[in-house]
Amino acid sequence: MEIKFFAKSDLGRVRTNNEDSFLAEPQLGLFLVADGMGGHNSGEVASKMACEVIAGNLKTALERSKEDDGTRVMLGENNPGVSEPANILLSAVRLANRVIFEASRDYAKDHGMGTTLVALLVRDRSYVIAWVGDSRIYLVRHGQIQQLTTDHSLVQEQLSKGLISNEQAETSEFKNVLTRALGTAGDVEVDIAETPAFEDDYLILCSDGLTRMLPDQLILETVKRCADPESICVELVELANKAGGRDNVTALVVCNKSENFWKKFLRSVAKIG
Amino acid sequence: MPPKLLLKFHAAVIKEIVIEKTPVTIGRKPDNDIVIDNMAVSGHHSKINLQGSSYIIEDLQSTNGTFLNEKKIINSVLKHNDQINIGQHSLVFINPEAQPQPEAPRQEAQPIADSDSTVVISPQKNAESAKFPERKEMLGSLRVIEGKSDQQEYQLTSLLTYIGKGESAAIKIKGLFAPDIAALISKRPAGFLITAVKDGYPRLNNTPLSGQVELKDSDLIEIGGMKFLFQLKDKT
Repeated sequence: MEIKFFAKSDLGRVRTNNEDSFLAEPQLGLFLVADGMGGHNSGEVASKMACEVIAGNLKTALERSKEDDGTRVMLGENNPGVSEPANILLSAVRLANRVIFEASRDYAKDHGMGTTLVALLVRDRSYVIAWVGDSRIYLVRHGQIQQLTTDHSLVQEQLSKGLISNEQAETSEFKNVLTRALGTAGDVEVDIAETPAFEDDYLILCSDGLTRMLPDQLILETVKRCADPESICVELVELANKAGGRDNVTALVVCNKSENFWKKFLRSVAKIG
Repeated sequence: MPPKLLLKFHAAVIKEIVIEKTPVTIGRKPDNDIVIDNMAVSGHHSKINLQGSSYIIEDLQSTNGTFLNEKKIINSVLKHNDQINIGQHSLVFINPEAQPQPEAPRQEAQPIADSDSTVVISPQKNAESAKFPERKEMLGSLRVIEGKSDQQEYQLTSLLTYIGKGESAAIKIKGLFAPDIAALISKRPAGFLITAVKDGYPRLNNTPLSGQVELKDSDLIEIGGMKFLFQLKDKT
């Protein structure tokens, strides 16, 4: 199976600064989106740091794991319910948390800075996803869209505990309150999950700047209509801006398609054009 | 106040260790007081002793050496804020008694009135939510109560469980007109959700299912000639 991907990050229509960051390392199969927060441009510092630390640490750790000596440095507890590469990703995200937390204490201007994070590791037959905060990963498969992550936000907590209804959640004034983020505390609980991969899967990593402006069904329609990752990203960002663009918007689309599909697709597009 | 050591990996502080008794041994083997599991660290790498009122760092003939403020040492007195480097880790020696420490500015995340900026709250501060019990992980399963299947009960341990005739379905149904994928059960921290992939085809408690709905304990799911009972239990 072949991975095709594209990412687009946009300022939006209201903000003066883009504090979202993304990273794609196709050789590692690693894709990240982070939405930063903090005074001045600290949000940008935090989200960028998260991407760089995770990618760097993961790369080293995965290379090391191929060697025979068997020792692995793990930050925090090993999760026996997921694979070794998943635990390597888990450790990398926790390390990013510590690094951002330390940096926020070292520099006065960066006090209180933090970031959300969504990570996708594409393996031969499965996907590993890890997340902290309210950025999301969606899976489009069998003509359906499924949110794989669960927001670490006050509104989601209230919804899950049955304290508020879906309608109240939509109009809540606390939509921007997170219960977890990277960099705001020494330790953080990172959610991690693994799921089998299938052909024709689309995975969409995005910041809440996209999901606050567009309903899930519209994201699904866009994927179905545009088919290739670049067009999907461009279209999603444009739709988010048309709907108001109230925050930075970032979309990273990964597509798992067989070689044959792309050749057929390109041939059919060439005929129409 | 006793002195302490901040164990760091590059810029990140991993642990804060209070020096309650000496000597303090440092190395890769588990019999050390401070265990650093890294290939650059020797089994017994160094030791901190107390001589009179001074703390001394001593290298125990380690392979890669012990460095104090980036200078390789065998034996040296530790001063407040000294940095001991061992491989990629470092230990910062904090001894506030020796020197008055300016209070590090503490900043708590203050919710800002402006609803556009993001704030993070800690679980303790979230008093309203704390009144309700912490969300426990729930175990879900589907018990076959009608129809032939290769299992009597399916544990819903995966993030996504597909029900259908096709290859990607973990729970198989039969039938000439059965779709490849009829329904999807997704596992979330708060519970389980069922989505009708073929709209109206699955029935939930005798009503055709459309869209996505949260499953409750003892819900009855009917798909293709099979009937399943959904059961929800606490992890304990």
